[in-house]
Amino acid sequence: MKGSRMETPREMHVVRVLAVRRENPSTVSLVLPKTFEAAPGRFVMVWDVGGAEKPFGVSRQTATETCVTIRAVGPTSESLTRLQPGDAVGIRGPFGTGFALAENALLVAGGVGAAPLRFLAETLRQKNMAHKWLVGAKTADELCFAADADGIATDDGSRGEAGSVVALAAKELARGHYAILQACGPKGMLRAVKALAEQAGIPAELSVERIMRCGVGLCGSCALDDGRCACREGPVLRFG
Amino acid sequence: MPSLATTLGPLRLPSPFVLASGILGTYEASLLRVAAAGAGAVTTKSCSLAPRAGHPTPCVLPWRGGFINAVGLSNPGVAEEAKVVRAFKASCRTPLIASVFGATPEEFAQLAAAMADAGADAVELNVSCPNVQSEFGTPFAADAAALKRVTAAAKKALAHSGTPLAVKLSLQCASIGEMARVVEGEGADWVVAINTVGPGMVIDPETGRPVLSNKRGGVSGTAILPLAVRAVYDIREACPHLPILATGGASRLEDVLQHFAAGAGAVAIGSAVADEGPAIFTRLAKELEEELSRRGLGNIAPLVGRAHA
Repeated sequence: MKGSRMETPREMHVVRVLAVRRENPSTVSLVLPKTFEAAPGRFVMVWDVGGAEKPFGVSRQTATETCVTIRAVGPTSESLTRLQPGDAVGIRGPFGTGFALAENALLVAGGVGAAPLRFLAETLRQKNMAHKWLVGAKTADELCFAADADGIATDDGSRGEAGSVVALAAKELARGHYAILQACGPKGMLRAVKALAEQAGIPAELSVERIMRCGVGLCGSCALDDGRCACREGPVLRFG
Repeated sequence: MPSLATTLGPLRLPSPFVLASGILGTYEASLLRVAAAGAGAVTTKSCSLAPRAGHPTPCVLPWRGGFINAVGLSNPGVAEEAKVVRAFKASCRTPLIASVFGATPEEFAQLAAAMADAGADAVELNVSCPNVQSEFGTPFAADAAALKRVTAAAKKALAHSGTPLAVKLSLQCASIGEMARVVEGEGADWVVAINTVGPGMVIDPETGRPVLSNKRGGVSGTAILPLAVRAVYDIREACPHLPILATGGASRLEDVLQHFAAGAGAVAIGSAVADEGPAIFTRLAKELEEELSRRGLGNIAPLVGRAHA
């Protein structure tokens, strides 16, 4: 439709929150009307109307809805997690690179990094593509989407296997045949997943986190060590 | 094979496509990547004496005609900036133009000298940022007397090193041709035209709120191309011998040819980097080379100023 929001996804569009789902004590998913075509791994800029704007992952998209998952870590994300149905919120995107849709993928998520991988896992499931996805966190309270996952690990053993999700991934790699590792989570976890992929001789796709201000590769705030912009040439980077 | 080499006053550029100030920030790795893509020069993000956090997000917004931004001159301060300039110059031959922003003529002079010391190939005075008026008042570029003082102070500070001086002008003045005459009179080696236009504003229609945290911001991208082309034309008319680095709305070769025809000897690329990344410098260089071959030209000189014939 001419002039519809779907045509101008890079521009800021303010929508009304349809519903709020609590994922864990510090994390919610905002259910928003679908105003753009998302893809697993690509991110959106979310504006706390009248406040600041930050990048977040899309955790699900249906024919009519988009779910954005937000963990309260600072003033903006905290304010966004307090939104109620009917409240206004700004959104623009999706931006950046996404995950490949590949057969025999092993998905590894740490904490709120589960958001884009949940979208990836759901997409793979709908396409009947073989995959397994593992979620981990420090404690059961920090897990996201654990109910949907094929394996769970917590550092303190409060839910699932005790230990890191990377250790769980290593066991899974030894057991099954996998063609790619796809991961999102804290820096240390991503480093370990990358090493795991190198050992196994398979490629890895890692979603990296940086401070992002423009989202479109202009301001340079999210520069990677090699000068690429995480917002434009990431957040999903391929190795191997 | 035609040559893409051009000059801005005493500065020789291997290609007429320059990274505009403020694009891709202040990281040496980002600037090196743009240079590797074939840019004729890179311009750093404006630096001030002290570090500045800039405005909170939202500070850069795409809209139908391009972008609106109020980044607010965020920068790590002159000491850190000098390290970036030194590191870049140590590993890359591409000319580096250091953009500086001061609150007074004395600050501009101090910053210009610091950048020359760090090895910058030229200094660009950002006297035209439209996004910090609440803090600094009307930009110097809008006031001929102030512009004269700032340019003179910087020129004096660069006398020792002989580093070329450029001044970035704004449409926010009565006559940009008149402003160009002022800076030419004070020894500017070239002018850069134009800074973002405005300030403008984007309001969210659902809530009625301005979206930028600063409310007002500078408009850039395709929307300002005709404004920038006219500004370059006016400057060329007022100052036929003053070199011009055009910046405003160029993303296609046809836009670049307009800027050349209006009188620009080089064209800076800013907003269009969002659509293509640094690869835009490689593409435009290739397309310009083909254009010169098609026209049977050995270099861009015959294309510059054609609109004034």
